Amino acid sequence: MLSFRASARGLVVPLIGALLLCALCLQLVPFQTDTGVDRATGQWLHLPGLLLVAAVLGAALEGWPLFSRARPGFTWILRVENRPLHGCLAAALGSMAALAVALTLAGLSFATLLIVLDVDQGDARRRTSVQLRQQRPYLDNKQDTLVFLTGDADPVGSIRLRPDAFLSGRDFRVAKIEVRVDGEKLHEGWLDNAGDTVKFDLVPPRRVREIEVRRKPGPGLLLRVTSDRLEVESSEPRSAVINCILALLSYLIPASLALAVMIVGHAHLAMPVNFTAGLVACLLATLLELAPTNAAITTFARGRWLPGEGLAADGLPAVAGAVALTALTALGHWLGAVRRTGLQ
Amino acid sequence: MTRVISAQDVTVTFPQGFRKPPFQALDGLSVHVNAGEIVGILGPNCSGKTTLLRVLAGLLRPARGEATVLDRQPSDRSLVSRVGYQPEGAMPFPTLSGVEFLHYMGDLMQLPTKTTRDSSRAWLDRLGLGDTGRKKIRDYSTGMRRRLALAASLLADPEVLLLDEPTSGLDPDGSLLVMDILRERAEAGTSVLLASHHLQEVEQTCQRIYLLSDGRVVSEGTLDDLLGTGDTHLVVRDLDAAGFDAVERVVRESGGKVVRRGEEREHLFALFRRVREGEAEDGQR
Repeated sequence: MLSFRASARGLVVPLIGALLLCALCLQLVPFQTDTGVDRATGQWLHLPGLLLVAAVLGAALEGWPLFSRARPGFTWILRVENRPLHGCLAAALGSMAALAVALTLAGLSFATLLIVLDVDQGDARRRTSVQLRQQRPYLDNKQDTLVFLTGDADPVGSIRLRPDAFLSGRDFRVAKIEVRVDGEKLHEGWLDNAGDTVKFDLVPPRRVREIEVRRKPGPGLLLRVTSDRLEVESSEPRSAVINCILALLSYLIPASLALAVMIVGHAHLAMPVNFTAGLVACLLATLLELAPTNAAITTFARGRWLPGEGLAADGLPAVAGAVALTALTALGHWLGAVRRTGLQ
Repeated sequence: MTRVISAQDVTVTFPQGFRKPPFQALDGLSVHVNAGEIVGILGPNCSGKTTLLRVLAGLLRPARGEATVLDRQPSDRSLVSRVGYQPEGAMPFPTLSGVEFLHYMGDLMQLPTKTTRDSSRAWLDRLGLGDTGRKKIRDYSTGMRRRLALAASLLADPEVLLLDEPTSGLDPDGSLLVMDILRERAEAGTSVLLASHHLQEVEQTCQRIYLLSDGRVVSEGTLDDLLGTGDTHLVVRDLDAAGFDAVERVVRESGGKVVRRGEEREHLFALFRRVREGEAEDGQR
């Protein structure tokens, strides 16, 4: 509770700063939710997440005297503290809770900002990408059908297809395709332009388990349809606010890894060094995609519905790493290898 | 007398880095405190006072020798609430109020909530912080922080008090109040070991004194042992041995009592200075 309060207090100013930063970025860079472009242009949405994680790491160190070496008043606590890892685990959990609240508020505020500024999120938030059953995402002479599985329980209102096309031999026409939904033919016809999004409506909307995209025999280009090039669009509206909050909450995963790294160093590293170690761990987890923050922000910026993307599983390595680091430090503590003394 | 604190031949060393010999903070030091006794530790800076208190508080493990408090190892968890420890220096959690700090310390010591609340209120009132208990610690003056620190060490009604500079930064009134409280606690059976630079307070409060230098005890005993009894009402000077014998005989024949015959009692400050000068001379040699 103490660390939660200390971290929450330490997050107020960074939270306001993050929102002002978002408002500024929103004016300078258009927030793009059109899936017709390859790269979403909301990447600056990483800034509030990173800022809040950095702030919570600092607040955790500042709020708990035993989270680093030689902090004022540490002898008071060292003598009476009896929780695992000198109370650092409880402090880290308190800080995580404060960060979750701050990220939720940031997501809520940013989503409200998008609504107030009338940034078009349209139907985009309903979209979910699907999973390709085959290894090769090509429709060519060797493989004329691709099967996609939807993991979504919501009724599907439409399907959006955006295949890549490759020149093949002398044929310059785009291929003729057939789209089947749970074995039932939905559409057959020529693709007008490669790379454009084609939308097929399901009337009435219904639950879909499997979508087949078949390249009809005859002349046509080789097509490539990767998982993210086929999206199902729910007929039910979904909350843009929740989607935004979930995107920012993905920063809890690198934060947990950073706090675990700081727990490893709590008995031996001075506060600035331990803070740097935690921050570097957070950045590496984000840049090396050990945590799905990049995927979550991109998915949100592209307007897809995050719960349907199965990103939680991508965060498992980072979470497992955080748990393993904490457990190993606790083991070292229990065995007496991690020891603190009263003179530091 | 029940021996409550005992340190026998305690040696504590700290590594000083690559290629430097370890620093010996305590060098075969032995002290003891009996039940209900107030014992002072005096000595210059870096003489080992704080290190000794940290050993007895269970924060440092001696490289050699043995320390026990209430017949247990100092690091024994059961001593957390039985031994009150007031370290020197800054206090943690500057954003908490005084009351919140005491409540949190009570939680960490696993005291019953009611005990913590009642004790906090009582000690804050007694130490003159009753009106400022809701103020944040960062807004406290140095003296208020020392009073709060003492309240925290007394929170669990401990059997032993280890106090490191309890009156540092306090005004004379605060110092007198603290010393009164220590005397009361001692009368109630609490044993007190206090490190201080305030010689007059030590002289007025402590029953025994250890004088430390370079991690060793250079002088120890009761004030009477070190300074004389204080009961000499007749001071006679400049007589030869026969003259002193004559005066003594007259006093006895008159029903008086000669308790001590020797040099005039010196002040504690003079003793302290003499020890320091002795060290300086040793250093020059």
